[in-house]
Amino acid sequence: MRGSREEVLGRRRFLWATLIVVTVFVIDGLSGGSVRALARLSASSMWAAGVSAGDVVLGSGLFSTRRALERENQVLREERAQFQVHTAAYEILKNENESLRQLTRLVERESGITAPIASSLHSSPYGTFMIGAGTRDGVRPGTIVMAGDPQRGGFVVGRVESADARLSLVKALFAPQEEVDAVIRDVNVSLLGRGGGQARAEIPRGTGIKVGDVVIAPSLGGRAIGIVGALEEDIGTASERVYVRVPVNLNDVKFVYVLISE
Amino acid sequence: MFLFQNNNSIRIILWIVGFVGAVFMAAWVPLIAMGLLALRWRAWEALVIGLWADFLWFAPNRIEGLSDLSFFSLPLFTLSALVLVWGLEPLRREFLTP
Repeated sequence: MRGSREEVLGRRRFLWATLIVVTVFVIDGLSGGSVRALARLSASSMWAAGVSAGDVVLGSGLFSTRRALERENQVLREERAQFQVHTAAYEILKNENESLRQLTRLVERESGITAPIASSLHSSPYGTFMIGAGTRDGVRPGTIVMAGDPQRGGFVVGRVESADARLSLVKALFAPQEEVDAVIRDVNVSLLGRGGGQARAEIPRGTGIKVGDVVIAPSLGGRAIGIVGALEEDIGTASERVYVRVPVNLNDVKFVYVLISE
Repeated sequence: MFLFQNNNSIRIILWIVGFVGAVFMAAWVPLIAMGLLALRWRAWEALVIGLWADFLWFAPNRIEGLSDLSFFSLPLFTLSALVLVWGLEPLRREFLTP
């Protein structure tokens, strides 16, 4: 009898807990995201503290051999990322000069700010990540976020989904199930994001598209969004599957370039 | 007494793993923590982890119409938490609670 009463009380308390959670969600929605802004700010601080703590532990000499290897590995990865960006930059500039400047109104001089990445890049199931710039810096929802210097051939990696005062949530361009219209060698394709900086599309056979070709999005001012990573022929159909990836390992990127419209 | 303390410790550890995991680790870590919490206890912590993860990573303002209403435009973690804690309630009550 007593157990049954405790059971009823427990269920009642749990029902209240559920109602409180739903209410907080609704209040956040009605207040324009004020609760989630606080949550993101604290998570960003946690992230920064975690990264600092990791650096301190690695710098203490406790794991000196491992640390030396990791540092070397990190330097090599950064160099490789830079190299990949520069290699792809050449193709981008060539393509721009050939045709896309005539088709789209590409901005000659990009104005923007450099912002640090303020969160993990692989924790979000929605393909989002945080950057340390917000409405105070002129960031608005829809603002384009790039990896690399746009003057020397950077890549669009996402768009700002929501912006708070100091932080913004960026949705990766190739987030899971995200569709982007793009052009590869004058062939229009509809890319479907797969997360992790990768997307895929179906193209007709015989288009001449090759591995390494630059992928451009007219809806993003003709900017580059990736390169062709692989092609796969399906014998049973008349189409070919093209896999697109961002040429930079996003895990190695510490800062992004945020285009601020004047 | 020991069992009670041990139980509570596991519950707290799972909550911390889920909460911190939502910030630092892959998405399946908080999801597993939520699942384990919901399996063993009537855990409001699972709901908090779900809400926390969605507050961090989910941007609801994309929902403009039904055409945009895809799987990833829903607050998956909060919904998962609700489904886990209430959906597993009969199983937990019947078999998994001493």
